[in-house]
Amino acid sequence: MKPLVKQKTHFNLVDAIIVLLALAAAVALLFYAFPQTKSGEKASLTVVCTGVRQEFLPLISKGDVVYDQSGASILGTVASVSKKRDSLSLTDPQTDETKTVLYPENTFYELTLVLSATNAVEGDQAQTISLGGVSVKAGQPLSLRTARVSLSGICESYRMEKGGEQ
Amino acid sequence: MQENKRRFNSMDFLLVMILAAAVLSLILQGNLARSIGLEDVGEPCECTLLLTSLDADAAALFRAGEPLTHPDTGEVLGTIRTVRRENAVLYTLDEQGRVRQVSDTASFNLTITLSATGKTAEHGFLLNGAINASPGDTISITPDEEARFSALVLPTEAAG
Repeated sequence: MKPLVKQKTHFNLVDAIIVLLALAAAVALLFYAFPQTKSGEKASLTVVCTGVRQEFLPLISKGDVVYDQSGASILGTVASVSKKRDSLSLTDPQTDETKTVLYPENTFYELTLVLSATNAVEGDQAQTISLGGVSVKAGQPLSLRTARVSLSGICESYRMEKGGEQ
Repeated sequence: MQENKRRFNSMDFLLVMILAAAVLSLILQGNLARSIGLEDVGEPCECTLLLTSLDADAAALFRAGEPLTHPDTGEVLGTIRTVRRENAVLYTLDEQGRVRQVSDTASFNLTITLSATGKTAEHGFLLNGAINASPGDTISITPDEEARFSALVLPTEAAG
């Protein structure tokens, strides 16, 4: 009878590389297949977009899903849209004074969008919230896109459901 | 006692190759598909672009039948189908302090319709399957290799 020889294998460098690659592949798969869906709270966000051409007004309406500029993250849905004529500064030829006046009808408008978000979490920095991974704070320029239009504006304010307005 | 040292064999090599390919394909999936022409770029479409306040020389660079390319990548965005040229608009105050629109005879606005290829995604329209070109987007274009312009995408109905 042949003597039993115990075949002991050691964890070597190649095994380590294989394990690391397998881990990297698993993490990458998780990252791409299941984007981070950190559960959040309800929040409303007011965004003011100036200089909006009148051609774009019919392209945004209540209920539209709003993405960040890259289109990768959903910020929320449009809860309300209000418009008014945008203003500009011009010099009065009579007095040389600068006056703020309204653009003529059917030219440029200021849109105020209230977005409703369900995935808001308190941001890492003070007075910021994170919507779908996008950090937002009051006064910050914000580029938005929906299925039909792309708009740029300023985040005027936000309000978490549980907290006060920022 | 005999020591059996485990050697790097063909199975290990195969595993490493498969894992490396999986990781690389995930990282490069966007660019790779694009570079080898497998990306879904969409269907023929029309895109309306607005360029504002161009001088006469710049406006003359845009001609029907000519291609427009992306200045950074050299990618052809489409072929100009029509060019509508109008004087740019200036806003001034009249003597009564009311806003008036006046034509600026020294500069021009161009409304260009572009025959292109694109597709609609959830977050908007993508020219050549990748370039955001929804109404309101600004895209970089060049009618030749030297000049570079920014064009605002208009709703197609606005072409007139």
